[in-house]
Amino acid sequence: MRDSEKQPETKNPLESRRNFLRGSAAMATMFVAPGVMLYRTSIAKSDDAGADGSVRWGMLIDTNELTEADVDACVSACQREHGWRDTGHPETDAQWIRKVKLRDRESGHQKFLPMMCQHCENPPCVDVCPTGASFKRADGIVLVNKHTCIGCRYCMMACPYKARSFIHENLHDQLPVAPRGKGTVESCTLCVHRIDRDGISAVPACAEAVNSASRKPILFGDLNNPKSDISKRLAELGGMKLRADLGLNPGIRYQGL
Amino acid sequence: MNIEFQRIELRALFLLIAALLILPASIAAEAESSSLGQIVIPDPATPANAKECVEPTDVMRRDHMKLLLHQRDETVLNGIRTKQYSLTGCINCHAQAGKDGEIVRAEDPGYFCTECHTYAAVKIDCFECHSDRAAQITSEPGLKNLDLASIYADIPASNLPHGRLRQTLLQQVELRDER
Repeated sequence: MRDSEKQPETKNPLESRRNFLRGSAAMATMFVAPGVMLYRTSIAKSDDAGADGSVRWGMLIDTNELTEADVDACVSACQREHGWRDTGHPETDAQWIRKVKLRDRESGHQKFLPMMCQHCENPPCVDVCPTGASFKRADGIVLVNKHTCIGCRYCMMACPYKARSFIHENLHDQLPVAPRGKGTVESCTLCVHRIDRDGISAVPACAEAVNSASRKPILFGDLNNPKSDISKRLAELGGMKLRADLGLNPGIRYQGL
Repeated sequence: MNIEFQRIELRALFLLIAALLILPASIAAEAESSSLGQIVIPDPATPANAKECVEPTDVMRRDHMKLLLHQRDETVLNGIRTKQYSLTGCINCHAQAGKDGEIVRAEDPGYFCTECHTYAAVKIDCFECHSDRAAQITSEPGLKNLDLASIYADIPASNLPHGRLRQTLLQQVELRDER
Protein backbone atom coordinates (compact mmCIF):
# COMPACT_ATOMS: atom_id res chain seq x y z
CA MET A 1 0.00 0.00 0.00
CA ARG A 2 1.31 3.45 -0.87
CA ASP A 3 1.89 6.08 1.77
CA SER A 4 -0.11 8.70 -0.06
CA GLU A 5 -3.26 6.67 0.53
CA LYS A 6 -2.74 6.70 4.30
CA GLN A 7 -1.52 10.28 4.74
CA PRO A 8 -3.73 13.34 4.46
CA GLU A 9 -3.00 15.81 1.66
CA THR A 10 -0.09 18.09 2.58
CA LYS A 11 0.80 21.50 1.24
CA ASN A 12 4.52 21.20 1.87
CA PRO A 13 6.08 21.09 -1.63
CA LEU A 14 9.02 18.97 -0.47
CA GLU A 15 6.75 16.37 1.07
CA SER A 16 4.46 16.15 -1.95
CA ARG A 17 7.57 15.74 -4.09
CA ARG A 18 8.68 12.89 -1.83
CA ASN A 19 5.30 11.24 -2.17
CA PHE A 20 5.47 11.63 -5.90
CA LEU A 21 8.86 9.93 -6.02
CA ARG A 22 7.64 7.09 -3.84
CA GLY A 23 4.63 6.65 -6.05
CA SER A 24 6.70 6.56 -9.22
CA ALA A 25 9.07 4.00 -7.69
CA ALA A 26 6.07 1.81 -6.93
CA MET A 27 4.89 2.25 -10.49
CA ALA A 28 8.33 1.29 -11.80
CA THR A 29 8.21 -2.01 -9.98
CA MET A 30 4.95 -2.83 -11.71
CA PHE A 31 5.88 -1.84 -15.25
CA VAL A 32 9.34 -2.73 -16.51
CA ALA A 33 8.78 -1.17 -19.89
CA PRO A 34 5.68 -0.07 -21.77
CA GLY A 35 3.63 -3.17 -22.51
CA VAL A 36 5.93 -5.50 -20.53
CA MET A 37 4.70 -6.58 -17.14
CA LEU A 38 6.33 -8.76 -14.55
CA TYR A 39 3.37 -11.04 -14.37
CA ARG A 40 0.96 -12.35 -16.94
CA THR A 41 -2.51 -10.85 -16.87
CA SER A 42 -3.86 -11.07 -20.39
CA ILE A 43 -6.34 -13.83 -21.09
CA ALA A 44 -6.92 -13.63 -24.83
CA LYS A 45 -4.01 -13.24 -27.20
CA SER A 46 -3.87 -10.50 -29.78
CA ASP A 47 -3.67 -11.56 -33.43
CA ASP A 48 -0.28 -10.00 -34.07
CA ALA A 49 1.37 -11.57 -31.03
CA GLY A 50 3.21 -14.67 -32.18
CA ALA A 51 4.00 -17.85 -30.30
CA ASP A 52 5.34 -16.90 -26.87
CA GLY A 53 8.84 -18.28 -26.29
CA SER A 54 8.53 -17.99 -22.51
CA VAL A 55 5.70 -20.53 -22.52
CA ARG A 56 5.89 -24.28 -22.91
CA TRP A 57 2.50 -25.82 -23.51
CA GLY A 58 1.88 -29.20 -21.97
CA MET A 59 -0.82 -31.59 -20.96
CA LEU A 60 -1.29 -33.78 -17.94
CA ILE A 61 -3.53 -36.79 -18.49
CA ASP A 62 -4.85 -38.62 -15.44
CA THR A 63 -5.51 -42.16 -16.67
CA ASN A 64 -7.13 -43.13 -13.37
CA GLU A 65 -9.92 -40.70 -14.14
CA LEU A 66 -10.33 -41.56 -17.83
CA THR A 67 -12.82 -44.23 -18.83
CA GLU A 68 -12.87 -45.91 -22.23
CA ALA A 69 -15.80 -43.68 -23.19
CA ASP A 70 -13.77 -40.62 -22.22
CA VAL A 71 -10.92 -41.63 -24.51
CA ASP A 72 -13.39 -42.28 -27.32
CA ALA A 73 -14.81 -38.81 -26.70
CA CYS A 74 -11.30 -37.35 -27.00
CA VAL A 75 -10.80 -39.05 -30.36
CA SER A 76 -14.15 -38.00 -31.79
CA ALA A 77 -13.76 -34.44 -30.51
CA CYS A 78 -10.42 -34.24 -32.34
CA GLN A 79 -11.97 -35.66 -35.50
CA ARG A 80 -14.76 -33.10 -35.37
CA GLU A 81 -12.41 -30.23 -34.61
CA HIS A 82 -9.98 -30.99 -37.43
CA GLY A 83 -12.12 -32.82 -39.93
CA TRP A 84 -10.33 -36.17 -40.11
CA ARG A 85 -12.13 -39.46 -39.95
CA ASP A 86 -11.71 -43.20 -40.08
CA THR A 87 -12.30 -44.70 -43.50
CA GLY A 88 -12.01 -48.33 -42.44
CA HIS A 89 -8.34 -48.64 -43.41
CA PRO A 90 -6.57 -48.59 -40.06
CA GLU A 91 -3.12 -48.98 -41.63
CA THR A 92 -3.34 -45.76 -43.61
CA ASP A 93 -6.05 -43.71 -41.86
CA ALA A 94 -5.22 -40.41 -40.22
CA GLN A 95 -4.30 -40.76 -36.56
CA TRP A 96 -4.00 -37.43 -34.84
CA ILE A 97 -5.03 -39.13 -31.61
CA ARG A 98 -5.78 -42.76 -30.86
CA LYS A 99 -7.00 -44.95 -28.05
CA VAL A 100 -4.43 -47.20 -26.42
CA LYS A 101 -5.53 -50.08 -24.19
CA LEU A 102 -3.21 -51.36 -21.47
CA ARG A 103 -4.16 -54.71 -20.00
CA ASP A 104 -2.50 -56.49 -17.12
CA ARG A 105 -2.57 -60.18 -18.06
CA GLU A 106 -2.48 -61.43 -14.50
CA SER A 107 -5.28 -59.41 -13.01
CA GLY A 108 -7.11 -58.53 -16.22
CA HIS A 109 -7.11 -54.88 -15.18
CA GLN A 110 -7.54 -52.52 -18.13
CA LYS A 111 -6.61 -48.93 -18.65
CA PHE A 112 -7.24 -46.61 -21.57
CA LEU A 113 -5.24 -43.62 -22.56
CA PRO A 114 -5.26 -41.16 -25.43
CA MET A 115 -2.03 -41.22 -27.44
CA MET A 116 -0.95 -38.41 -29.71
CA CYS A 117 2.04 -36.25 -30.53
CA GLN A 118 3.92 -35.83 -27.25
CA HIS A 119 5.34 -32.42 -28.26
CA CYS A 120 8.90 -33.31 -27.23
CA GLU A 121 11.45 -30.76 -26.14
CA ASN A 122 14.00 -32.63 -28.31
CA PRO A 123 11.81 -33.96 -31.11
CA PRO A 124 13.41 -36.66 -33.27
CA CYS A 125 10.96 -35.84 -36.08
CA VAL A 126 12.55 -32.39 -36.35
CA ASP A 127 16.07 -33.87 -36.38
CA VAL A 128 15.40 -36.11 -39.37
CA CYS A 129 13.29 -33.80 -41.55
CA PRO A 130 15.24 -33.05 -44.76
CA THR A 131 13.35 -29.84 -45.59
CA GLY A 132 12.80 -28.29 -42.18
CA ALA A 133 9.07 -28.80 -42.54
CA SER A 134 8.88 -30.60 -39.21
CA PHE A 135 9.57 -27.92 -36.66
CA LYS A 136 9.10 -26.87 -33.06
CA ARG A 137 7.40 -23.56 -32.41
CA ALA A 138 8.72 -21.08 -29.86
CA ASP A 139 6.08 -22.20 -27.37
CA GLY A 140 7.06 -25.86 -27.65
CA ILE A 141 4.36 -27.11 -30.04
CA VAL A 142 5.74 -29.53 -32.64
CA LEU A 143 4.13 -29.02 -36.04
CA VAL A 144 4.43 -29.90 -39.73
CA ASN A 145 4.71 -27.00 -42.15
CA LYS A 146 2.76 -28.60 -44.96
CA HIS A 147 3.90 -25.96 -47.43
CA THR A 148 7.42 -27.40 -47.29
CA CYS A 149 6.66 -31.05 -46.42
CA ILE A 150 7.64 -33.32 -49.30
CA GLY A 151 6.00 -36.42 -47.85
CA CYS A 152 9.17 -38.47 -47.33
CA ARG A 153 7.84 -39.83 -44.01
CA TYR A 154 11.20 -39.90 -42.23
CA CYS A 155 9.51 -38.22 -39.26
CA MET A 156 7.01 -41.07 -39.05
CA MET A 157 9.90 -43.51 -38.82
CA ALA A 158 11.70 -41.40 -36.23
CA CYS A 159 8.75 -40.86 -33.88
CA PRO A 160 8.81 -43.43 -31.05
CA TYR A 161 5.15 -42.74 -30.26
CA LYS A 162 3.82 -43.44 -33.80
CA ALA A 163 2.12 -40.08 -33.55
CA ARG A 164 2.24 -39.07 -37.19
CA SER A 165 0.29 -40.25 -40.19
CA PHE A 166 0.50 -39.67 -43.92
CA ILE A 167 -2.33 -38.58 -46.20
CA HIS A 168 -2.53 -41.06 -49.04
CA GLU A 169 -5.50 -39.82 -51.00
CA ASN A 170 -7.07 -36.61 -52.23
CA LEU A 171 -9.20 -34.92 -49.62
CA HIS A 172 -12.21 -32.67 -49.95
CA ASP A 173 -14.04 -30.38 -47.58
CA GLN A 174 -11.25 -29.76 -45.14
CA LEU A 175 -12.01 -27.42 -42.28
CA PRO A 176 -10.72 -23.84 -42.34
CA VAL A 177 -8.75 -24.33 -39.09
CA ALA A 178 -7.05 -27.53 -40.25
CA PRO A 179 -5.73 -27.48 -43.83
CA ARG A 180 -4.80 -31.05 -44.80
CA GLY A 181 -3.75 -32.46 -48.13
CA LYS A 182 -2.47 -35.49 -49.98
CA GLY A 183 1.26 -36.13 -49.82
CA THR A 184 1.92 -34.51 -46.48
CA VAL A 185 2.41 -35.81 -42.96
CA GLU A 186 0.20 -34.64 -40.12
CA SER A 187 -0.22 -35.05 -36.38
CA CYS A 188 -1.72 -33.48 -33.28
CA THR A 189 -1.24 -29.71 -33.28
CA LEU A 190 -2.26 -29.29 -29.63
CA CYS A 191 -5.16 -27.30 -31.15
CA VAL A 192 -2.75 -24.55 -32.12
CA HIS A 193 -5.56 -22.51 -33.68
CA ARG A 194 -7.30 -22.35 -30.31
CA ILE A 195 -4.06 -21.42 -28.53
CA ASP A 196 -3.40 -18.64 -31.03
CA ARG A 197 -6.95 -17.38 -30.54
CA ASP A 198 -7.43 -17.74 -26.79
CA GLY A 199 -3.92 -17.57 -25.30
CA ILE A 200 -3.61 -18.98 -21.79
CA SER A 201 -7.34 -19.60 -21.52
CA ALA A 202 -7.24 -22.02 -24.49
CA VAL A 203 -8.36 -25.62 -24.03
CA PRO A 204 -7.66 -28.26 -26.71
CA ALA A 205 -10.68 -30.07 -28.12
CA CYS A 206 -9.84 -33.40 -26.46
CA ALA A 207 -9.56 -31.81 -23.02
CA GLU A 208 -12.74 -29.85 -23.59
CA ALA A 209 -14.57 -33.08 -24.43
CA VAL A 210 -13.81 -34.80 -21.13
CA ASN A 211 -13.38 -31.96 -18.65
CA SER A 212 -16.28 -30.58 -16.68
CA ALA A 213 -16.73 -28.32 -13.68
CA SER A 214 -16.47 -31.28 -11.30
CA ARG A 215 -13.59 -33.21 -12.87
CA LYS A 216 -10.57 -32.41 -15.00
CA PRO A 217 -8.85 -35.60 -16.14
CA ILE A 218 -6.89 -33.67 -18.81
CA LEU A 219 -5.12 -30.54 -17.62
CA PHE A 220 -3.68 -28.20 -20.21
CA GLY A 221 -1.35 -25.33 -19.45
CA ASP A 222 2.07 -23.76 -19.28
CA LEU A 223 4.78 -26.08 -17.95
CA ASN A 224 7.18 -23.15 -17.55
CA ASN A 225 4.91 -21.23 -15.19
CA PRO A 226 5.15 -22.72 -11.68
CA LYS A 227 1.80 -21.11 -10.78
CA SER A 228 -0.21 -22.77 -13.54
CA ASP A 229 -2.64 -25.54 -12.59
CA ILE A 230 -0.69 -28.14 -14.52
CA SER A 231 2.62 -27.21 -12.88
CA LYS A 232 1.05 -27.28 -9.43
CA ARG A 233 -0.47 -30.70 -10.00
CA LEU A 234 2.80 -32.02 -11.43
CA ALA A 235 4.66 -30.67 -8.40
CA GLU A 236 2.16 -32.28 -6.06
CA LEU A 237 1.50 -35.64 -7.68
CA GLY A 238 4.17 -36.02 -10.33
CA GLY A 239 3.66 -37.10 -13.91
CA MET A 240 5.12 -39.81 -16.07
CA LYS A 241 6.89 -39.13 -19.36
CA LEU A 242 6.38 -41.96 -21.82
CA ARG A 243 9.70 -43.52 -22.82
CA ALA A 244 11.55 -41.12 -20.53
CA ASP A 245 14.67 -43.19 -21.22
CA LEU A 246 14.90 -41.62 -24.68
CA GLY A 247 15.53 -38.19 -23.18
CA LEU A 248 13.02 -36.44 -25.42
CA ASN A 249 11.25 -34.69 -22.53
CA PRO A 250 7.70 -34.81 -23.91
CA GLY A 251 5.23 -32.05 -23.02
CA ILE A 252 2.44 -34.58 -22.55
CA ARG A 253 2.58 -36.24 -19.14
CA TYR A 254 0.53 -39.13 -17.76
CA GLN A 255 -0.59 -40.06 -14.29
CA GLY A 256 -1.66 -43.49 -13.07
CA LEU A 257 0.36 -45.65 -15.42
CA MET B 1 -8.46 14.07 -123.75
CA ASN B 2 -5.32 12.12 -123.22
CA ILE B 3 -4.39 14.16 -120.18
CA GLU B 4 -7.88 13.76 -118.78
CA PHE B 5 -7.73 9.96 -119.22
CA GLN B 6 -4.37 9.92 -117.46
CA ARG B 7 -5.85 11.91 -114.60
CA ILE B 8 -8.76 9.46 -114.21
CA GLU B 9 -6.36 6.54 -114.39
CA LEU B 10 -4.20 8.14 -111.70
CA ARG B 11 -7.22 8.71 -109.50
CA ALA B 12 -8.22 5.06 -109.85
CA LEU B 13 -4.71 4.00 -108.97
CA PHE B 14 -4.82 6.14 -105.82
CA LEU B 15 -8.13 4.65 -104.86
CA LEU B 16 -6.80 1.16 -105.42
CA ILE B 17 -3.71 1.83 -103.30
CA ALA B 18 -5.81 3.41 -100.61
CA ALA B 19 -8.18 0.46 -100.64
CA LEU B 20 -5.29 -1.97 -100.40
CA LEU B 21 -3.89 -0.04 -97.46
CA ILE B 22 -7.14 0.24 -95.57
CA LEU B 23 -8.49 -3.26 -96.18
CA PRO B 24 -6.04 -5.33 -94.08
CA ALA B 25 -6.26 -2.82 -91.28
CA SER B 26 -10.04 -2.98 -91.25
CA ILE B 27 -10.00 -6.78 -91.43
CA ALA B 28 -7.59 -6.84 -88.52
CA ALA B 29 -9.73 -4.39 -86.62
CA GLU B 30 -12.77 -6.52 -87.28
CA ALA B 31 -10.96 -9.65 -86.13
CA GLU B 32 -9.74 -7.87 -83.02
CA SER B 33 -13.14 -6.61 -82.03
CA SER B 34 -14.73 -10.01 -82.54
CA SER B 35 -12.10 -11.80 -80.45
CA LEU B 36 -12.39 -9.14 -77.77
CA GLY B 37 -16.07 -9.84 -77.74
CA GLN B 38 -15.42 -13.47 -76.85
CA ILE B 39 -13.02 -12.81 -73.99
CA VAL B 40 -14.75 -12.41 -70.65
CA ILE B 41 -12.75 -10.04 -68.51
CA PRO B 42 -12.76 -11.53 -65.00
CA ASP B 43 -14.78 -9.76 -62.40
CA PRO B 44 -14.24 -11.70 -59.16
CA ALA B 45 -17.14 -11.95 -56.78
CA THR B 46 -17.15 -9.29 -54.09
CA PRO B 47 -19.40 -9.17 -51.07
CA ALA B 48 -22.40 -6.93 -51.46
CA ASN B 49 -21.78 -4.87 -48.34
CA ALA B 50 -17.98 -4.51 -48.61
CA LYS B 51 -16.70 -1.16 -49.85
CA GLU B 52 -13.03 -1.91 -50.38
CA CYS B 53 -10.49 -4.70 -50.08
CA VAL B 54 -7.60 -4.73 -47.60
CA GLU B 55 -5.44 -2.88 -50.16
CA PRO B 56 -6.28 -0.85 -53.28
CA THR B 57 -7.32 -2.90 -56.31
CA ASP B 58 -4.08 -2.38 -58.26
CA VAL B 59 -1.99 -3.52 -55.29
CA MET B 60 -4.18 -6.58 -54.77
CA ARG B 61 -4.06 -7.41 -58.47
CA ARG B 62 -0.27 -7.37 -58.61
CA ASP B 63 0.83 -8.36 -55.12
CA HIS B 64 -1.83 -10.49 -53.44
CA MET B 65 0.37 -13.56 -53.80
CA LYS B 66 3.29 -11.86 -52.07
CA LEU B 67 1.06 -10.75 -49.21
CA LEU B 68 -0.37 -14.25 -48.86
CA LEU B 69 3.04 -15.93 -49.01
CA HIS B 70 4.43 -13.68 -46.28
CA GLN B 71 1.38 -14.17 -44.11
CA ARG B 72 1.52 -17.93 -44.64
CA ASP B 73 4.98 -18.26 -43.15
CA GLU B 74 4.26 -15.83 -40.33
CA THR B 75 1.19 -17.83 -39.36
CA VAL B 76 2.55 -21.35 -39.66
CA LEU B 77 6.00 -20.77 -38.19
CA ASN B 78 5.40 -17.98 -35.69
CA GLY B 79 1.70 -18.21 -34.86
CA ILE B 80 0.99 -14.64 -35.99
CA ARG B 81 -2.61 -14.58 -37.15
CA THR B 82 -3.35 -11.01 -38.18
CA LYS B 83 -6.53 -10.85 -40.18
CA GLN B 84 -5.56 -8.33 -42.87
CA TYR B 85 -3.74 -10.64 -45.28
CA SER B 86 -5.04 -14.00 -44.12
CA LEU B 87 -6.28 -16.47 -46.71
CA THR B 88 -9.29 -17.23 -44.52
CA GLY B 89 -10.04 -13.52 -44.57
CA CYS B 90 -10.10 -13.53 -48.39
CA ILE B 91 -12.36 -16.56 -48.45
CA ASN B 92 -14.72 -15.31 -45.75
CA CYS B 93 -15.39 -12.20 -47.80
CA HIS B 94 -15.06 -13.25 -51.44
CA ALA B 95 -16.39 -16.81 -51.49
CA GLN B 96 -19.93 -15.76 -52.26
CA ALA B 97 -22.75 -18.02 -53.29
CA GLY B 98 -23.56 -17.89 -57.00
CA LYS B 99 -26.63 -16.25 -58.50
CA ASP B 100 -28.56 -19.49 -58.07
CA GLY B 101 -27.71 -19.51 -54.36
CA GLU B 102 -25.51 -22.59 -54.74
CA ILE B 103 -22.11 -22.52 -53.08
CA VAL B 104 -19.35 -21.95 -55.62
CA ARG B 105 -16.39 -24.31 -55.18
CA ALA B 106 -12.73 -23.69 -56.02
CA GLU B 107 -12.89 -25.94 -59.08
CA ASP B 108 -15.87 -24.04 -60.50
CA PRO B 109 -14.93 -21.45 -63.15
CA GLY B 110 -16.90 -18.80 -61.27
CA TYR B 111 -14.92 -19.11 -58.02
CA PHE B 112 -13.29 -15.79 -57.16
CA CYS B 113 -9.73 -17.17 -57.41
CA THR B 114 -10.32 -19.49 -60.35
CA GLU B 115 -11.91 -16.80 -62.49
CA CYS B 116 -8.76 -14.67 -62.74
CA HIS B 117 -6.31 -17.55 -62.61
CA THR B 118 -7.93 -19.17 -65.62
CA TYR B 119 -7.73 -15.84 -67.45
CA ALA B 120 -4.06 -15.41 -66.51
CA ALA B 121 -3.24 -19.13 -66.99
CA VAL B 122 -1.92 -19.49 -63.42
CA LYS B 123 -2.44 -22.75 -61.58
CA ILE B 124 -2.68 -22.61 -57.80
CA ASP B 125 -2.89 -25.51 -55.39
CA CYS B 126 -4.08 -23.68 -52.26
CA PHE B 127 -7.41 -25.47 -52.24
CA GLU B 128 -5.99 -28.97 -52.34
CA CYS B 129 -5.51 -28.46 -48.61
CA HIS B 130 -7.28 -25.25 -47.64
CA SER B 131 -11.01 -24.94 -47.32
CA ASP B 132 -12.58 -22.94 -50.14
CA ARG B 133 -15.61 -22.00 -48.09
CA ALA B 134 -16.02 -19.90 -45.01
CA ALA B 135 -18.32 -22.31 -43.28
CA GLN B 136 -18.25 -26.01 -43.71
CA ILE B 137 -20.98 -28.04 -45.25
CA THR B 138 -20.22 -31.61 -46.24
CA SER B 139 -20.70 -32.11 -49.92
CA GLU B 140 -21.08 -35.86 -49.87
CA PRO B 141 -23.40 -37.10 -52.59
CA GLY B 142 -27.00 -37.02 -51.50
CA LEU B 143 -26.30 -34.66 -48.67
CA LYS B 144 -26.61 -31.43 -50.59
CA ASN B 145 -29.32 -29.72 -48.62
CA LEU B 146 -28.13 -30.50 -45.18
CA ASP B 147 -29.64 -29.28 -41.99
CA LEU B 148 -26.81 -27.11 -40.72
CA ALA B 149 -27.93 -27.43 -37.13
CA SER B 150 -27.53 -31.19 -37.30
CA ILE B 151 -23.94 -30.86 -38.53
CA TYR B 152 -23.11 -28.52 -35.70
CA ALA B 153 -25.31 -30.38 -33.25
CA ASP B 154 -22.60 -31.02 -30.66
CA ILE B 155 -20.66 -27.82 -31.14
CA PRO B 156 -21.25 -25.00 -28.67
CA ALA B 157 -22.27 -21.68 -30.19
CA SER B 158 -18.95 -20.11 -29.20
CA ASN B 159 -17.05 -22.55 -31.42
CA LEU B 160 -19.05 -22.12 -34.61
CA PRO B 161 -16.97 -21.31 -37.67
CA HIS B 162 -16.52 -17.65 -38.40
CA GLY B 163 -17.61 -16.06 -41.62
CA ARG B 164 -20.43 -15.89 -44.03
CA LEU B 165 -22.73 -18.55 -42.62
CA ARG B 166 -22.12 -17.78 -38.98
CA GLN B 167 -25.30 -15.78 -38.57
CA THR B 168 -27.39 -18.50 -40.16
CA LEU B 169 -25.74 -21.09 -37.98
CA LEU B 170 -26.21 -19.03 -34.85
CA GLN B 171 -29.90 -18.69 -35.56
CA GLN B 172 -30.24 -22.42 -36.14
CA VAL B 173 -28.27 -23.24 -33.01
CA GLU B 174 -30.43 -20.87 -31.00
CA LEU B 175 -33.49 -22.65 -32.34
CA ARG B 176 -31.89 -25.97 -31.41
CA ASP B 177 -31.13 -24.81 -27.88
CA GLU B 178 -34.68 -23.56 -27.42
CA ARG B 179 -36.11 -26.91 -28.36
